[in-house]
Amino acid sequence: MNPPPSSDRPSLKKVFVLSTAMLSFISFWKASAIVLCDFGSSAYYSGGIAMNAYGPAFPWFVMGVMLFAGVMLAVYVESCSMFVRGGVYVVVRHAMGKFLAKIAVSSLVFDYVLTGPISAISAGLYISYLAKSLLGMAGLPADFSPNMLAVVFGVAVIAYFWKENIKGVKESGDTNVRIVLFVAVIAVILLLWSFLTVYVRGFTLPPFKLEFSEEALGWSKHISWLKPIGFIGVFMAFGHSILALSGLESMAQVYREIEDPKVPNLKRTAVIVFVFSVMFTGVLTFLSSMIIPGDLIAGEYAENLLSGLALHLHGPYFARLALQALVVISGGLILMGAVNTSFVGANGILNRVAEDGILHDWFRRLHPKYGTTSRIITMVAVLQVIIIIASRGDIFLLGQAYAFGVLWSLVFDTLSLIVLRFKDTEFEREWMFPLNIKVKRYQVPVGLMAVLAVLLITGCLNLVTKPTATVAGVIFTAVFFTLFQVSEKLNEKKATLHLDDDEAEEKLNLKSEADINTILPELSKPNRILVPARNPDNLVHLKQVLKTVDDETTDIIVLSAKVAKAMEFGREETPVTDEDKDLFRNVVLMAEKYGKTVKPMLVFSNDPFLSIAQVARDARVGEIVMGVSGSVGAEVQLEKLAMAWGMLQKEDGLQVTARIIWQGRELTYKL
Amino acid sequence: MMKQQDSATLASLLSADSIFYLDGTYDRPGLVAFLAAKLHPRVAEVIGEKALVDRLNEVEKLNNILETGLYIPHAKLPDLSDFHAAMAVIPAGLKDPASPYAVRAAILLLSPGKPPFFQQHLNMLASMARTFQTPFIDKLCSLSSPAEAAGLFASAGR
Repeated sequence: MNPPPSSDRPSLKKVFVLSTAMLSFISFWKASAIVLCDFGSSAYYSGGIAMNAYGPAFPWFVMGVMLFAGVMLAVYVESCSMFVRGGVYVVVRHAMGKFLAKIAVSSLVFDYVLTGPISAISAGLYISYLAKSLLGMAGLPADFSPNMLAVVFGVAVIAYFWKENIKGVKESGDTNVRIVLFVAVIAVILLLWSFLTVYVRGFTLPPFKLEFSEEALGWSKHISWLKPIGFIGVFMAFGHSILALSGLESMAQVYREIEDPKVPNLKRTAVIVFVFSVMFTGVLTFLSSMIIPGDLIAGEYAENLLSGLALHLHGPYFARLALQALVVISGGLILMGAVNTSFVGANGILNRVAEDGILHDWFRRLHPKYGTTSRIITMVAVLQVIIIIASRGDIFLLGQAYAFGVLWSLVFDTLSLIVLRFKDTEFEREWMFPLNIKVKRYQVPVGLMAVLAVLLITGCLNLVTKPTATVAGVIFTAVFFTLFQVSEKLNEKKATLHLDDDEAEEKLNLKSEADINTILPELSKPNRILVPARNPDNLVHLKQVLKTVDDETTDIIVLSAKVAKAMEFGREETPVTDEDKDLFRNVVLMAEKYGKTVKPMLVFSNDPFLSIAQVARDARVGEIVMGVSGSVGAEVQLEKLAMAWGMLQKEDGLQVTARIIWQGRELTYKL
Repeated sequence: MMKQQDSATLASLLSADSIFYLDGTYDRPGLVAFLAAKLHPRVAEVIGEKALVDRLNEVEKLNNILETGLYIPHAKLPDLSDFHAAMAVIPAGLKDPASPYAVRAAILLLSPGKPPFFQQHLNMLASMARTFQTPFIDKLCSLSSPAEAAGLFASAGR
């Protein structure tokens, strides 16, 4: 048999390149924008809801909640740094098991399901009141009910985002950045103009005086020792303001996308979110209370506080009206962003629990056209529409219910971190919430315990002061918990828990390329490293590369070279096995953990070492980093690679560094 | 990128008395045993012939024929202090059922087994694979004597 001349030796055929959105990473600025698009939206309604509950002391408590948000952001930094694909469900499951994780995620879903209605209604109210202003100015009748208009608007917004999410329109980080920048500009204008107003007119600090409404006391009215004064009153008021903390779970969702160095960038994200929130939600609420007459805050502007602020600034009416319009536009953008986040977040968390087998596969059936988990998305949309209609646009009612999900998901998350400090002492934590006391091998989390105490007291008081929220929240949690329990039992009876390949949460799109050379233009950085990998459980070498390589200057190609003895060129086959997918899934997880971009490829040939050498030659890599093979050993691997490399070289051959890395050892040679 | 530096060249390892032209009647183990027998006198001080063959057969379980038709049976011997090689040229080709390629040139390489020599050992393997491309093997097969083959290495600066 005569081998082909070397000049005619074919390049690799049947190259599969993994393309998944998760292989691109974002800056901490973009991550901050994504979080703020959810977390920052509460500025538009939290003040009014708090005022309605306990009167003129509301700005103190809203500011207090924003400062407490800094504490909760720090809690999330610790939990995210432990689990790249984390969030409340993963943390609670790890710490306290599936049973409590199901309860935690039920309350989190309640949070997401309410985020849509409260955000949509709030946006609708702002638009309604602006419409009233404009119609009034034009001398036209404006005797419609803002709440009813908000309901109509809310349903339309939910329907729109339901459709968009069914179609699988991805939430764009760039869009979030633009929205937050626009909101920031409006916020700065509001802040500066407010300070000017306060300077011109003088000010009085709002009184720290709690005047709870009958409704805000809830069942506590019937408990003689539970008086809304002193310590208890403070926590009651805090509980009525805590809905402003909604959106922190986005930190956990966005962490996997943050670029290297992950934990420092996460901390920067937390700082940006904190500063923005204190200024935007905290300070603006404070300024609102100092500028808008008290009776108007409680009346006309209870449902659109920032519009009221714009209209009561010092200056000509038209300018104030124009600012009101800008406030409404910015509010509409960020609030509708929060509606979308509610779909994305609920869909994400329900898919995550479905992967664990605690949500029946029926819910994860993909849309035949768009390939999205349309049943989950539709369920969320239906629930949100029901809530909007049942609320009749009453933002105060929605605010009450909202706090339930927010608070109890935070309780579970914080409690889990405390448990993990004792349960999982070996876990390498890149960052820990401060105030810890080392006792033997434990880091006793005094700081976290204090946070948990605050959350638990607030949560318990909320149970009695918000009867509607308590009843709704408990029923919702019970229903979802039951759904999870039944699903888990039904899933256990099935032959396999694995879904069809198409329905995996992480869609591993392996696109077939005609030739390796079509992929090479995507490698744009000055340095390249090739990391062959075969065994999904043996990626020590990839971990070492990801830890040490500079993502700015180095392309990392992860190559799975498979032996395919009976390859048929030209046929459209996808001989990609479950083991290949496990490998790439682990590669993606590891890349996410370190925030570094990798280019995973799968090639078929008769000789894996020849494939490695060919890709290395064609991509002109400077380094090949392999894990050790259990079947042949490091030296044989290097020998085979040397022969393959030599065979592919011309007279003045390229040189490459070959490294083999395994636990505690490394061999490095030049070829 | 630097050119590879080989402290021991093929020309220095393969002289006329270490190059053999064979017909295709051998099988792969037989070919290895033949070359081992020819090379053994140079390494007799460090290993017996049977032990050498056994050692080679052990390594050869993981070795393969390159698609150019080159086959490099090799072993690292701890007590060896220098590289030794013997080559067989099989113009008719030696078909091995375990491989899609026929062996047309085989180089038995014995390397010092000490860690400082491993880089050189890899260089030798790469150098052989780079040198013995198909046109070169074609040329070798067209020659008729070991002396001509040795001259080919020398003239090519290998």
